Amino acid sequence: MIPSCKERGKVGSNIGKEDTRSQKIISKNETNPDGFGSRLKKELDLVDSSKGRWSTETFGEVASIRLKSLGKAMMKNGSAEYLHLQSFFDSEPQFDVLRPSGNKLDVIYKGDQIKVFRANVSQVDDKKSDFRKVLKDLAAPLLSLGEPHSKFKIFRVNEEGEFVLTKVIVLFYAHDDNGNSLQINARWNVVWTKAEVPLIRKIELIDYEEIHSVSEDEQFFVDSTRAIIPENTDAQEQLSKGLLHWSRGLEPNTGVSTNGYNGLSVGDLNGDGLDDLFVCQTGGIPNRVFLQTANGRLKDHSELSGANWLNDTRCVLIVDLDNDGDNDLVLNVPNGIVFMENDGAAQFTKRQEFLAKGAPFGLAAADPDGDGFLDVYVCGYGSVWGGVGEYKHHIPHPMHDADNGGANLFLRNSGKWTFVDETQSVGFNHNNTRWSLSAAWEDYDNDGDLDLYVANDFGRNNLYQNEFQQTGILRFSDVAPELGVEDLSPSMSASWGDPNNDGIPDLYVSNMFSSAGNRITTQSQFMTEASQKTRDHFLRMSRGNTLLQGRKSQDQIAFQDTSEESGITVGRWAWASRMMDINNDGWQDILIANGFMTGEDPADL
Amino acid sequence: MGWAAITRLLAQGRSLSGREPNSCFLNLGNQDGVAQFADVSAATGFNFSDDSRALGFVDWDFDGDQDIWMLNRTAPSVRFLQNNQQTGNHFVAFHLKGVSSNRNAIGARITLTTQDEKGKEMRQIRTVTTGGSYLSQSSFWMHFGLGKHHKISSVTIRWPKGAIQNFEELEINQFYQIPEGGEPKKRPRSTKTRSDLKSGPLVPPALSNAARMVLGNRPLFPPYQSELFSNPSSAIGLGKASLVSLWSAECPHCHDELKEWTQEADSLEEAGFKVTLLNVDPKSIQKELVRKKQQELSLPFEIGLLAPEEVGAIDAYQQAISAIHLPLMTPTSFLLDEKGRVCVVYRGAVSAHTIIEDLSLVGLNDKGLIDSSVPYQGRWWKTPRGADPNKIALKMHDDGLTKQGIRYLQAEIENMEGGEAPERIRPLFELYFSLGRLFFQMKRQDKAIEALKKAVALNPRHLPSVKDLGRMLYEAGELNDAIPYIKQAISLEPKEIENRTLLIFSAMRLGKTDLALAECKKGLKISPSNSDLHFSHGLALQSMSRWTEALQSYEKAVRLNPQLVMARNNMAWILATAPDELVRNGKLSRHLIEPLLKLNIKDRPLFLRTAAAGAAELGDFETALRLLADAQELASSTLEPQLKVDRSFYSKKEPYRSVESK
Repeated sequence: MIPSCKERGKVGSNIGKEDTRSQKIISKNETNPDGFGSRLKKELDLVDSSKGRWSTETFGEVASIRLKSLGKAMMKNGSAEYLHLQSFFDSEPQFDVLRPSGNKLDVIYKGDQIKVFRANVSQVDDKKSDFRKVLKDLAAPLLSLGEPHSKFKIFRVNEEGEFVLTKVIVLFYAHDDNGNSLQINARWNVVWTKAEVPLIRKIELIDYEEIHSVSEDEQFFVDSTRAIIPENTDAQEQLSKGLLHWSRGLEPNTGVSTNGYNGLSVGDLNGDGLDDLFVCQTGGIPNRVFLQTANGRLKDHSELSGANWLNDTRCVLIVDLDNDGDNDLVLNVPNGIVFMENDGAAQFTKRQEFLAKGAPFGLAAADPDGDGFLDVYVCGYGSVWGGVGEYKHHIPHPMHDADNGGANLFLRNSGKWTFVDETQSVGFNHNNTRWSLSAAWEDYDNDGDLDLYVANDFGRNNLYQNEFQQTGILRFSDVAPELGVEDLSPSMSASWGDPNNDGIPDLYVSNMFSSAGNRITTQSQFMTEASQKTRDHFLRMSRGNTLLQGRKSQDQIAFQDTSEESGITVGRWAWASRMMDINNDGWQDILIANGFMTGEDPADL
Repeated sequence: MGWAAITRLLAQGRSLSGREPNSCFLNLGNQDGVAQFADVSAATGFNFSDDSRALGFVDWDFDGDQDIWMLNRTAPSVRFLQNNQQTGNHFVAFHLKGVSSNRNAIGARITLTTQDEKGKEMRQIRTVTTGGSYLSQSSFWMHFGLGKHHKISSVTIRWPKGAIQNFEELEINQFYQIPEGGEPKKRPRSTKTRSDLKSGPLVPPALSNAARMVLGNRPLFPPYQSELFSNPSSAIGLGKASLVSLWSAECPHCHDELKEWTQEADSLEEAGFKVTLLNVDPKSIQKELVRKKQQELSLPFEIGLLAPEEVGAIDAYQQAISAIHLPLMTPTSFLLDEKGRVCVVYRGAVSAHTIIEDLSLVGLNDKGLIDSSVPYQGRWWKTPRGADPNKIALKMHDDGLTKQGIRYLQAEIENMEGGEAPERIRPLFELYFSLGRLFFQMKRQDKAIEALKKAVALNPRHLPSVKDLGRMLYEAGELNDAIPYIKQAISLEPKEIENRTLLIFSAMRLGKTDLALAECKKGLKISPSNSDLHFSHGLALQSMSRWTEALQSYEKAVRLNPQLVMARNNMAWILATAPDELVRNGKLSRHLIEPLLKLNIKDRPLFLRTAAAGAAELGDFETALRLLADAQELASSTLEPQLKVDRSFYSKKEPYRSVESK
């Protein structure tokens, strides 16, 4: 193809646009005959601050831009005098020392490669009005490493007379070519003087932390994909592109999704003792199935695998379903669950299919009744799409505690390639109309059988306790409310581990941290008509991720929400969030895959 | 901002929590039993600003630390992150194999106790698991970091079926495979060939809006009546395959494309193409621009001049058939079959060679076309349905081009009813339903009703059609016609109160109070706390002069929904005007109506009339007449005769009395 105009034709199509604009407005004022979505709209309007344009939100936007510019300006190498920074500040700005040093900094982690320092902020009280020196001291160590980066997120805005008080999450980092890095995490109180272009009057440290990572060659994590996925292949071309590409060239009815709800799984497909890779893909492009070769490279096995479905595949499990020693597949496609048997050489044959009740997301296999065969729990999100006009149940309601989602399924394995829906008979039908995304099995109470935690979007989560060991009957009951682990927030995933090494499983739940949500829900004019309880729910929904530490209390397991104390809430718009000991020090760390929708337009909604 | 608005903005390429750096929290150890973490995302290089979704952990290179496979929505969609830690910390890893338990040993619990040189112990647990974190699965190798602990004191495995095994003599820095009931076997550590994996990320190509899209089910090209500029011949849709291209005289890529097509005109003609160039330039200068370009290039093709709303309709079309809504770009070309149905869309310039090659697609059946619409080989679990003409028409409506939407649906219906491919794309009744909706939007009720009648005739069980039809007939005043459809809607969805209240109002307006009353009772049985039903019940009872019961129903309605001002008004009216002295209560009537007089809504004249009746009941005829005069100023013509009657009473210093129905 010949290269083409990046922008639409300047003249002709513009005319079409402009002429229709006036008609557009007319049509918006007409009423929709079936009132679709009006209920949801009301709810969203409640949280919509742009309606009526809150002055604090407008201010937050402007202040954000100012801080971004300040970050850039102070990190410009060579402008030692910082004369150009004057324009950001009020005439007599007051400053804390923004990079505490010496005895004001405690070493709180001393690994072989990573060291973490924290400031005792109460001791950092000497106000410095010479902001040039303060900023220079902050920037100097970063500049000495390489090109510094800065990021600011405003999470509170309060007006007080002629001043505006903001709280800001601050990040600076830089690294050199050998992988030596410096990262500064801080929170600031920034006081502004109101003006058309607001001026900084005061910066105070709320807390301060600094991470030094040393290395001989490269950073801790290095992207080495290119060597592993074979070059000049369809597979490499396919995986190098993202959904912004595929959504341009495929019809929506192929199932190509702009949201990208797809996962990947690592497991041994051909029984050679090496883990292989299954990459789930959106509709219109095939799943990619790879075998690992002896030298750690991947060989494209998609076509031969028989699992190169073109339908949107969200999740796959690589597990032995018939106990014949090779790993089989269970995967989901829109509205369906497919079980496939491995012939031993990673060629898979469809053995059974299920129609899901809700759009299927996460799958979790385990043997909770100890019969030796793996059963499968299927998370169901919203209800399955109907035809025209049949979508009214497809919107979560109420938004902060939705219970109108699609049902989850418990598919029990007979061992002979028949899976039976036993959701109801084992008690999983209780609290089963949430918008579920992930489920995680663990024997949290250490009684010898597996229990199940289910992470639900738009509302509270479930912890189903298994009574099998006590009664000999597979039966679950939801104990989340009494154990206080409902974690009322938009949950995307959950994983078990033991980060405090006390021998009792802990739970990490990924949610959404939203600085906008934090700003808006703390304003007095937010949802004035709603009860304080509802307002608190909304603030809680923006808090972010949750760590629930299991502990023994009078022979019972109880959970303690240590999220704030542990410092793990800001995982952003978090999807997969799992524990792994990245540096082999014996303490489980947390890794989070996050970010929702990056468009070409950098302005975030 | 509503849900739909967010979806629309995202489809236009906006961001929502985009460019967020991935997070890595380092465990710093405990403080008072609580694990402490620090965000080390940037320091470790894990802070990729991808829209990441899934994480799979595995020691891919068997070097004793865990690497990461990551899946993204953004490009590149896969990253392999090699763990490059250089701490010198020890590790041990186990791969369990169930024998009587499930083979993957899912649910097995490993408890590991280690010692450092000072004899200090550390205990860790891990459970074999799969699934869990979002749409991901990690390796079944259970990996333990040991720090500087140089000795494994014990390893306890509790197998899923309950058996417990203990091992005491295991070495650090080893990979052990352990079968249930058996002995651990070492797996060799990394081989030399694996240390050379270091390379770099997959490099995505630059994102381009240009695309060649094969449409699985060839939706019709939007009808247009362009003014012919040159080469008048038969219109498209009759005869051979055709190529329609939207172009602007000022677009350089259009120029290059048309020049190439002109050079290849013979090949195009020989292949059987009829080429139509549709110009999109502004009306005022369109002819002049086209003439100039024609002189410059001597285009041997039919040229048409599109009107702005036709450009708009084609723009809506090309957006509706695409997952992401990109504004129309020039040139955009369409390869049409002999029926005017689109097989291929080219966004951006396309060579004659490609077009001629694509001619073979026109002859394919739908299955073949769908298979050609995807870029790589694969298999369908369920073959997708085609592009949805309803969505195309509704997109035109959304863009303010409702007329074009209607024309589009009519053309598609005609195409289907012509027997060419009946219900090939979507069921016909859905198209009629959408047509009804769009006519309604155009305020063409007669046409809307006609379309919906067709939809219902084709599928009497399609609730939205039945419901809309009942309501439209009711609103058109055709109550007798409406009632059967409203009843049908009720039988399809008995719990939906809206249809039942509609039936009650229809019955009341027809004077069928018995039917209305019966429906109220049925509805209240299903939904005893529905305020609308109690209100309707009150209306029915009032019309039957059952004053006390009517008051009770209204009271329930008001209690359930204080916003129901008409229920309040009607209560006040009965209390002021009931013929039965025992029912009347002027003071209570005034108490009820007074707050309503503060509301400035369209029902205000009614409230004033009620207040007047209350004042008259209390003997204050002066106030009653004043209130009536206020009502008069605002009243509609339908209320005026009634006000006149009231006035005649009050001027004679007589209160008004409602008439008993027979």
